[in-house]
Amino acid sequence: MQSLRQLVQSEKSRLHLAIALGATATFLMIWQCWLLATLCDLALHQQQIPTDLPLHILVLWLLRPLLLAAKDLLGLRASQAIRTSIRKQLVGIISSAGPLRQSIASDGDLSTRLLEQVDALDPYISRYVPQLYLVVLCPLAISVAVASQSLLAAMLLLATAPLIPVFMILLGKKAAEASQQQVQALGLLGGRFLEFLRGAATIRQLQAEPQVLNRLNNASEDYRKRTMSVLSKAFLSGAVLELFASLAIALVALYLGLGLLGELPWAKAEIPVSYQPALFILLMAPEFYAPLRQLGSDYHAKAQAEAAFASLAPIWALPVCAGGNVKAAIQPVTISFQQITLQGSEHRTALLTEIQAEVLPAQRIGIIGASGAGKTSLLESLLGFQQPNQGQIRIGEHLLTTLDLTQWRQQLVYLSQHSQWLSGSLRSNLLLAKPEATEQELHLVLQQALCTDFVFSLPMGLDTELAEAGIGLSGGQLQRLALARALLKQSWCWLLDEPASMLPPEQQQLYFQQLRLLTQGNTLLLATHHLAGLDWLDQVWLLQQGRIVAKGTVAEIQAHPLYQASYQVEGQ
Amino acid sequence: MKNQLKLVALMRPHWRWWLLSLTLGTLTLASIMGLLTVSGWFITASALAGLQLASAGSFNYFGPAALIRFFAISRTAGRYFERLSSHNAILLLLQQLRLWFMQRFLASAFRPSSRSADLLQRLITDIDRLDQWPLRLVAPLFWTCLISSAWLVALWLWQPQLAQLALFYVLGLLLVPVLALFLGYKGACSLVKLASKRRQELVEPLSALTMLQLHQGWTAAEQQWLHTEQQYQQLLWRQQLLELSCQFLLLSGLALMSFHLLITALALVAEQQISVAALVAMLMSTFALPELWLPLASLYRHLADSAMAKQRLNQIQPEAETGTYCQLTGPITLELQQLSAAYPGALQRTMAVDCSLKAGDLLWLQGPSGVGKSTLLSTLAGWLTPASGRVLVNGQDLQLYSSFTQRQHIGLLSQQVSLFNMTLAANLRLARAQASDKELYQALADVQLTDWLTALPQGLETPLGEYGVAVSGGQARRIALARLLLQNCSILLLDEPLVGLDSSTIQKLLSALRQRCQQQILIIASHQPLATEASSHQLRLKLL
Repeated sequence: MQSLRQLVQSEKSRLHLAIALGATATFLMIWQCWLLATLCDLALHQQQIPTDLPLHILVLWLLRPLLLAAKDLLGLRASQAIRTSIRKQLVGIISSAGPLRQSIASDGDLSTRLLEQVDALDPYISRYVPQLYLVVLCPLAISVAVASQSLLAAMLLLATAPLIPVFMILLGKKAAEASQQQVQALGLLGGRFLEFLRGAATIRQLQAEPQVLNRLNNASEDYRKRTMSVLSKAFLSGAVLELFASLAIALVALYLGLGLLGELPWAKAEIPVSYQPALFILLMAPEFYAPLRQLGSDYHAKAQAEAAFASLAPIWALPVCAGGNVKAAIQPVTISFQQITLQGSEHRTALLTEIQAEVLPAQRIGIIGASGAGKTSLLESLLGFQQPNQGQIRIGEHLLTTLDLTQWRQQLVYLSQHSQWLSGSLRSNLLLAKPEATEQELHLVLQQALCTDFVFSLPMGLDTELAEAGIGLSGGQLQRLALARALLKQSWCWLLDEPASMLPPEQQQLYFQQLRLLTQGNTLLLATHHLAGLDWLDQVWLLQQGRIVAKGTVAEIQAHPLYQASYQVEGQ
Repeated sequence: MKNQLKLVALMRPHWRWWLLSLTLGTLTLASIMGLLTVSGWFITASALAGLQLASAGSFNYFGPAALIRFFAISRTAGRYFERLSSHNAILLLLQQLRLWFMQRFLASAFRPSSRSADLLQRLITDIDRLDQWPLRLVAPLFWTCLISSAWLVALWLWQPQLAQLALFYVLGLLLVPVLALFLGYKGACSLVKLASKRRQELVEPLSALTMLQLHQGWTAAEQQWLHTEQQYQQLLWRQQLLELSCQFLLLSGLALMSFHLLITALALVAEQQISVAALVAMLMSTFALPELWLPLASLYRHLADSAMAKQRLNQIQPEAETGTYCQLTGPITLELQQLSAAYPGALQRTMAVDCSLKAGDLLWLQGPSGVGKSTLLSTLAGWLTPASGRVLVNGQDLQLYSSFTQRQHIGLLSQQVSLFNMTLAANLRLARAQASDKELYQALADVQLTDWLTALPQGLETPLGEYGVAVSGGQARRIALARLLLQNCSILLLDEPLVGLDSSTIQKLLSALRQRCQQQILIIASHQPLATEASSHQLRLKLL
């Protein structure tokens, strides 16, 4: 999706129909004005009024709002369809982007973009786009109708018409400028407000409430003054339009009236336009500028939509991996990294650089390195969310990018440093991994993951309600529960990212011993900070700045100068 | 619930602006009607006069022509100044609203955490929504009623028969917004609620996305969200239909009225009771009515929106005062008796501790991360009530002191420090507005920031925060510590103040702190073991 204009392409037919309805409404209006003028003319000349004339007028009068309502309805329908499809598309992208989504924004911010920002496109699609055409069509139709009766009156209206594009641009620029400045200023003020709300605890502690209120007051006052000076200029262009609209009506009325009196300076005692066409013209005059005024007031819809679109653009640009339909092996196979390079978000350096490594079936590997060395990125690359910038990963003989990713992820156990939980009972969270698991299975995995002691000392046991994101349990307890959940899955490839970092040292030893038993016969990649208790690993990779600098046995790596240096730093 | 938000009270100080914008709006709308009416009358009267060319010369066209010009100008000027004054009034209201809310928020027990960013943002949106209330709700209603009644009165003075007819229609039209309110208010309220539900159902699975993708749980979560989203869109669609129907009813009602008036007036013309010019004038005047009435179609939605926004803002209530003791004099003592702390709703609490401290004492609170040191400190600061056991300050339960006294005498430096987008001096003076530059320098010297300060070209006037000079986490913590020192609390609770400092800075900082806090109790929580002095107390928390 490259531009805002492209968004509306999919609903072209509805929008074109809406425009057609709007144009029809204008024609009906012209016709109605003609009939009304005829009626008044007949009354003026005290002639008999045909009985079907009023009826005609009534039908036209009622038809117009109906057409306008239908036009709006179509616009809204089109907007709803577009927004629904965009939203589905974006949710799809974000869900297949996995951890990659965090390079754009926090989850709260992303939700705002998916919900509110997508909805902010509504006025643009439903009102602004049709109006963009009507603003040309309607005045043109009216001026043709006027010209058929009086060239001079049409000229009066059209004399200002070339100004329309000029004013649209001017109005657009001014309005955009004004709204941009206002948004900036509001952002600053809003930022200050939010900052004070966030720092409420500090402010209370320091008893600085009066000072803060005073500052907020000054900032608001400053914002108001600045905004008002911007607005006083921005509203001017609107006012000029309004002036044209008023003057056009006034001039037309004066010209026609004085003409009817034969008092025009250049045409004394002559009637250039007779009463019926004169009234016809006068009735239409206010409608000449109406679409433009409407567009002017809808202009902020465009600015709003542009801002919304800009916030959505990075989501479309995510380099997500869609996968293919090749089934992944369900037994341990060789995993090979071939010259993998992963780029971080724009301004950051590469997360991984030319990783070349092989994991044999059921090999157990430790990945060690300082924080930021790329341990997590290496593990995440196997989840298949991100398309590598260079190189490829092979699972057995297949490329990771061609695998059926849902089925591949079925083969994975992945524990991140911060395990993820949904609000609900402990049981429902565990059952996510295997909905049909029996009570015995649950007990078994809890026991294997060293959770029995604290889970069953909770008054509600497995039915304990977990608040959002697991609040209520300690980090170490959640890490062990995450292991229990993972054990419910029958998977052969284990990716563990510092799975015991929040456990106290003596429990960590226990955890690793347990891990040794549980991962026998499976492939394991274990990111860790230190190697204590991990002498059973087959191989260790030492990472530094996204590169593998050494591979070897536990003893070899422990002897590596880089490991010793970083371990000492960590130890302090 | 007491202490509700009253918008009218917030608007009162600036009632002149509101009155001005209402008056100018009335002037503008009246001018639109006037321009149409007079020009319609003018050309018809001219045509009538023109028919008898003899009398054409005697027709005074200066009066109407001047009126037409006047209305054209007053309509433009009126609109321009109305927009300016109403925006000014709105900004003033926004200012009042923000101040009101900030005051209330600071007085509430709400403690923002990183998780509450979303909530705060929504509260701000609610405030912004409320400032639209006068312009979307009050003003349209006022203008419609005022100008429509004036129009009716003018009609009455001219032809009571027509006015009676028009009155009948206007009363009927008034039913439309009432009907909309009756039919749509509940829906509009549930739309607001559904909006937050659909958000909730998206944010939560999203925050556990990787886990859900690996356990095949995402599809179910997405389906549930899609279901709510569909419900939301359907309800929204119904609301939009209702609004469009109301617009249609208003427009066609007005059209019917104009038509009925026209037909009736035509009969009067035929009977020679009124002139054709007057008829056209009346007809033209009705053309100005749709602009007046259309905003009433969405009245119910704005009413519901502002009611819901108000309701949510009202949920932030000032904290009820628990204690009344304000006296805290003499040398300070602090005693913990079997104290155990826990966050509300937490499944775990900290181990019970006993400790007795007096002025000049230093307590090291030690233990691995996650053991509850921060929770314990929050309890000692009076932010949390003890899960069990007691906290005694000068022999009295901490809860018995007023919150003002608690905050005045107990200072807590939490791990997430807040520095604001202000200058360094302004940030420090939040603790004591009248502190002299010398005191600020001293406080910064005590936290070992003198070197950093002298390297800053603008010194104390250096702006901090997002838009200011970059401050590292460790520096931010020390600036916040300097600020807390300026407050002169009797009990200082410092949560991990030494993270990221080298050992010589730690030594200097600690000795400066001991020097400065000879009459105070100092409690320092730290997960790393530190070289301790003989005179200090130690408390080691263990995982349960």
